[in-house]
Amino acid sequence: MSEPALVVENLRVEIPTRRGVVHAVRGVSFTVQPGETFALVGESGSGKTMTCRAILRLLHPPARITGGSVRFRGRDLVPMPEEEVERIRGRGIAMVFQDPMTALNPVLTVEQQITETLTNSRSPTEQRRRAVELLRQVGIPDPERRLGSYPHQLSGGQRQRVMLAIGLARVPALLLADEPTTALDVTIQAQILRLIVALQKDLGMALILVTHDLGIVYQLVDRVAVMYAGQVAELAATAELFARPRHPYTIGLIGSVPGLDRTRPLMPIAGTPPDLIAIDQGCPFAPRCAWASDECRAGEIPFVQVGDAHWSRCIKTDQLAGAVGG
Amino acid sequence: MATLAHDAPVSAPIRGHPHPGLVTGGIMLLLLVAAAALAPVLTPYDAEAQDLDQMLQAPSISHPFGTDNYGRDVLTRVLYGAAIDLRIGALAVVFPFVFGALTGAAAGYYGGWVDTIVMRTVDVITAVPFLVLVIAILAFLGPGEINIFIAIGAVGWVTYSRLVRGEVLREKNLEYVAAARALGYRRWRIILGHILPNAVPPAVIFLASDVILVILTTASLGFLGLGVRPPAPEWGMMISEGREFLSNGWWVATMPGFACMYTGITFILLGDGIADLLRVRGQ
Amino acid sequence: MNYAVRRIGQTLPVAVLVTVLIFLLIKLLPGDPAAAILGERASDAAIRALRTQWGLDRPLWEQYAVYMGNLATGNLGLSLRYQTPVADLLPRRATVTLFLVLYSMALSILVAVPLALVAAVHRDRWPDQLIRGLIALPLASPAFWIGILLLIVFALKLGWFPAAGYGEGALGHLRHLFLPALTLSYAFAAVLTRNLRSSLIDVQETTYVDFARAKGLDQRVVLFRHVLRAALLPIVTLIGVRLSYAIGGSLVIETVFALPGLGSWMVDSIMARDYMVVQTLTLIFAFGAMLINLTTDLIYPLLDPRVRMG
Repeated sequence: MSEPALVVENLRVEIPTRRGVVHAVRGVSFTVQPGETFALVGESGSGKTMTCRAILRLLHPPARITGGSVRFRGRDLVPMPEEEVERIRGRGIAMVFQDPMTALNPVLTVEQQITETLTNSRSPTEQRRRAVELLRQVGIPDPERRLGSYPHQLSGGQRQRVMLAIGLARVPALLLADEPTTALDVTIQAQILRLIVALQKDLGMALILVTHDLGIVYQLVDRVAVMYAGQVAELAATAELFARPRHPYTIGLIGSVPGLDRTRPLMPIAGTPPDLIAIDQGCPFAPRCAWASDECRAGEIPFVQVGDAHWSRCIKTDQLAGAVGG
Repeated sequence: MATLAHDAPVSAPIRGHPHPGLVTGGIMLLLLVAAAALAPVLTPYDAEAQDLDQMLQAPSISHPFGTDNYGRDVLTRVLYGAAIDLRIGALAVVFPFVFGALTGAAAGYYGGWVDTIVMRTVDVITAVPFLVLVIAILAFLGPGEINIFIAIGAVGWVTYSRLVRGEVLREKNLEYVAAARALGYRRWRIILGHILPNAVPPAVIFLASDVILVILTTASLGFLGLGVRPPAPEWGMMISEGREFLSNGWWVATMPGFACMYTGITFILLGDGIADLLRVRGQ
Repeated sequence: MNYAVRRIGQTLPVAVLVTVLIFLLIKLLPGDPAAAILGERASDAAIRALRTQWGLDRPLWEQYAVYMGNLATGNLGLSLRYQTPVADLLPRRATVTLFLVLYSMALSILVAVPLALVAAVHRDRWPDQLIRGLIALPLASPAFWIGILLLIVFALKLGWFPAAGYGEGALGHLRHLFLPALTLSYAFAAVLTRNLRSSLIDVQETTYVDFARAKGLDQRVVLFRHVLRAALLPIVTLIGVRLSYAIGGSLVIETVFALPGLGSWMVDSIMARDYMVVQTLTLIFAFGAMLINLTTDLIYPLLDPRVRMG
C-alpha cells in the first residue's frame, strides 16, 4: 500500500475560556489514503471543524493544539514553524470553507482572488488563462466574463464554485471541505457535492469532507469517521458502516435520517451533546445511550477494531448487532 | 511577526470584579472635586489678589506651580479654576442630553414630519463645524458663562438626538415592541418602560466623552477670550495669558494644561468604564 | 453616477438651510446691527446708509433675499478692519488654512496607520496597551495647549522650527506649518489610530482573512492586501467627519502660531467686532465642511465595489 495522504494521530485541541478549558478535540485519529473520499460526520460541537482547522494550523488563538500529530508527506505539521506550514497551505493541502459569501473578500474580483495564489511561476497572461481554465473546470459558464466579477454579484452556488476553483488552483494532494454546501440552497447542495467529488477523483486528490448529511455520505464517500464530543466514535468504509453500524451514536444517526433505513420509523436521539468543559470520564454518549451500563461511565473507552478496517469506541458492540441492518 | 491575534480582550470587565478603569477614574474624579471644593483650605493664597513683588517666579516650594505676571500663585489659580471648568462641564451637558434625547426619541418613534423637522435641523447644525458655530454664536451674544451655556446648549444637543433616534428606531422594530402593542400596552408606556431604557445607554456613554468635549471647548473659548471673563482663573484663559511669557515664564501657560489633561483622562476612564459596564450588563 | 447625483441632491437643501441659519445668527446681536458693525464713532448717516443697503427696515425675508443675492454675485461683504472686500482677502487666507488642514491630515495618516497595525497585530500585549495609553493623552488635552508645549520645546528652546508666521516659498511653508500641523494632527491621529485599530481587529476576525491564510498566502500579503484594505474603508468616512471637526481646531491653532489663515481671521474679526466678516467666514467654514463630507461620500463607492454596484 502506498504512503497515506494524511495520518492524524491522537490529535487534541483545547480552547481556554473564562468559564474553563473547552476540550474541543480529544484524541482523534484517522488515516486518509491518496485519492480517497473521506468524510468526517457529526453534529455541531463534535469537533469536526476544529479538527480540520487544526490540520492546517488555522486555529484562532486562544484555541491551540495540545497533543497528537498530523503527518503529511512524512512530516508532522503540528510542531512545524509557521513559514513552512504556509508553504503547505494551498499547495499540499487546500481548504474550502462553509460560507462562500463571508470567505471571499468582498472588495477583490474573482480573478484577483484566484490569481493571488498563482503568482509564483507564471506570467500574468498565464495566470489569467489558468484562472479561466479553473472556472471552467468547476462549471462556471462564461468564465472570461466572470473573472471581473465581485463576490456579491455571483449566486451562492457560483461563489462556492469559485472557492472550489481557488482550492484546486495548485492541485493539492488533499482537499479539506468544511461543510461546503451548508450555506447553499438545498436544490444545489447535491450538485456542488457531486462536483467536488468528481473533481477530486479526476485530479487524484484525497478529500476530507466535513458534513452532517448522511445521505450524501452514503452516496459519495469511501470511508467515514463519525465524531462525537471531540472523539472519533466509529471509523469504517461507508458500505460497512451503514450495513453494520457498531456504535450507538451511529445507529442513532442512521435511524434519524429519513430514507436510509425503511424498515424502522424515524427515531431522533434523545438528549443533548455534553458540555466539553466539564467532560467526565467514560463514554460521552452514555447519558443518551440505550445500551449504557456502569462500565461505560467508568473509564477511558478504547478504540477497538470490530471488523475489516472497522473501528469503534464502544464496549457494547456485541449487543449492537441487529439494531440496524445486520 | 506573530499571526494576527484573536485573543479575548484581557481588559474586558469580569463579572463581579470592579472595573479597573472605572475605579481609577472615580478616584481621580474624587480628588479633582475635592481639590476644587477645598481650594480655599488647601492654599493660603488668593486666586485673584495681585502681588507684583512676586511676579513670574519659577516653581518652588512656596509656589509649586510658580507665579504669573501679576504675582498670583498659579497652583492656587489652577485649583480654583477646577471649580469653574467642572461646573461648566457638568451643567452644560444637561440641556443637550435631555433635549437631544427627547427630540431623538420623538423623531424615532413618531417618524413622519416630526422626524423630518428634527433631522433637518440636526443636519443643518451639524453642517457647521462645532467650534466654529459655538464661537460664532458667542461672537454675537458676547462672552460670559451664561452665554457659553446657551451656545453649547444650542449646538450640542444634535449628537444626542441622532444617537437616541437611531436606537429608538432599532428598538421600535424589535419584536418585543410588537408583542407589547399586541397585548394592548399604551404607547407612552411602551416608550417609557421599554424603548427608552434600551435607547438611552449609548447616549449616556457619549455623555462621558461629551463632558471632556465641553471642558476642552470651554478652555478653547477661554483661550480665545470668548469665555469666562477675567480675572476668573479659567484654565484656558490662564494659558492664553501665559502666552506672552513663554520664554521667561513657561509655567504660567503650561501648568493649567496639565490640569486639563488630568481632567480629560479622568473622564475618559470614567466614560470607558461606564461604557464597558453598560455593555456587559446588556449581554 | 446616480448615487453621486442623489448625494449632491441631498446636500443642496441643507446648504440652503445653512445659509438661513447663518443669516439669522447676526440677529443675535443686541441692538442695531448696523451700529454695532460700524462702531461707536460712525456717523448717523453712515449707519442709515448701511441699514438701507442691507434693507434692515424691510421684512426679514427680503433681507434674506438681499443677503443671498450678494452671496450669489460674489459680494461677500467688506472687512471693516482691512477696508477691503472679503472676497479679495479670501483666497490667500483660505490657502493657508487648507494647507494646514491637509498637512495635518497627511501627518495623522502617516502616524496612525503603522501604530494601528502594530496595535492590532499585537492585540492586548504590551505594544497594544502602550499605544492605547498613548492615544488617550491627546484626547484628554486641549489642542492649543499641546501647540504651546510644542512651541516652547521645539521653537523656543531648541529652535528647530519657527515659532510663528507662514514663511516664504513651498519649503518655508512646510517648515512654518510643521508644528501647527503636528498640533492639529495630534488629536486627529489619536482618533484615527483608535478607529483603524478597531477596524483592523474586526476585519482580522472575518472568514475571508481565514480563507486567505488557508490559501497559503504570505502573512504580509494577507495583512496588507486583505486586512488593511478592508479596514481602511470605514475610515474614509471617518476622515471626512473628523476633518470637518479639525477645521474648527484651525481657529485655535492659527491663533497660537500666528498663521494668516481663515481661523485666525475669524478670531481677529470677532475681537474687532467685524461682524460681517464673522458671518461670512462662518458660512465659508460650513460650506467647506459640507464639501469635504460630500467628497468623502463620493469617494467611498470608488473604493468599495459593493456600494458602487448597488
